[in-house]
Amino acid sequence: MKKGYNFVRSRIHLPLALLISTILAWSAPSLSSAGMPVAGQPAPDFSLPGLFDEKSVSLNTLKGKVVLLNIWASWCTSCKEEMEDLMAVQEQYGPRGFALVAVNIDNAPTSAVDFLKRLESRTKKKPGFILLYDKEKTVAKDYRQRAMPTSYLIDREGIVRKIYPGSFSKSTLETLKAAIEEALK
Amino acid sequence: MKKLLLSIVLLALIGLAGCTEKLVRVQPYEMEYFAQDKMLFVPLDSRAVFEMHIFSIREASAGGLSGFQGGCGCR
Repeated sequence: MKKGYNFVRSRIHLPLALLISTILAWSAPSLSSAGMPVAGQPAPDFSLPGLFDEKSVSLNTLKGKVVLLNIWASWCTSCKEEMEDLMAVQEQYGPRGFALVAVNIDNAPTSAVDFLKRLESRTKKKPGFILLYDKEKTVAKDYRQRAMPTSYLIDREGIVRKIYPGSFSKSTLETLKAAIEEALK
Repeated sequence: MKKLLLSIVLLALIGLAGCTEKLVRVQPYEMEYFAQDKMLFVPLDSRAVFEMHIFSIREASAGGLSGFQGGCGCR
């Protein structure tokens, strides 16, 4: 009869298994979503200076409004592509208590400012939303951002309602509008 | 022999531990430098058509890049 393989008694595999489990345990926090805001949890607060001026805005001061927090950068093509759509969203829902907060995370604000000026001259409209600058990328880190761009829909009580990783397409934009309508009720 | 094998495996695992996401994963918001044109595999890709045009003039022939010719340049 063939001798059975006994894993537990094996002198070689037991320390090996222990080592593998130690390594997995060590790397687990980075692989998990611990600390990442999820729908239904309070949105982490932040206070940042404006992209065009030094006037700081904190998320807490926007309580009572439905907020779409959009984290973007000028080197991110899809971030720039959705900006015009986001301007339209702000225009549509702004008067009803909606505030779009676009946080730029470029290493230097110059190209973001240039892009927004070009957008303004092309569309003949001011962006109309709150533009903040986060050189240290603290908001991206606090929100454990996993895609560029990412948008977070935050309700009037400061609770994260929805998370949208990636840029908005025509269909996801409709989903966003429906979620904003729902949050504004 | 088994001890040697075990030592090699252990050393390899310790080495691989350095490759966990905690140490090497670049987060999406940290990719500003990766997004620059010079980080492309072919940085001058946008110039390829122009360079091909210059190549054709210089070599006085069109094509000739694929392998069916003998390389004599006499076409």
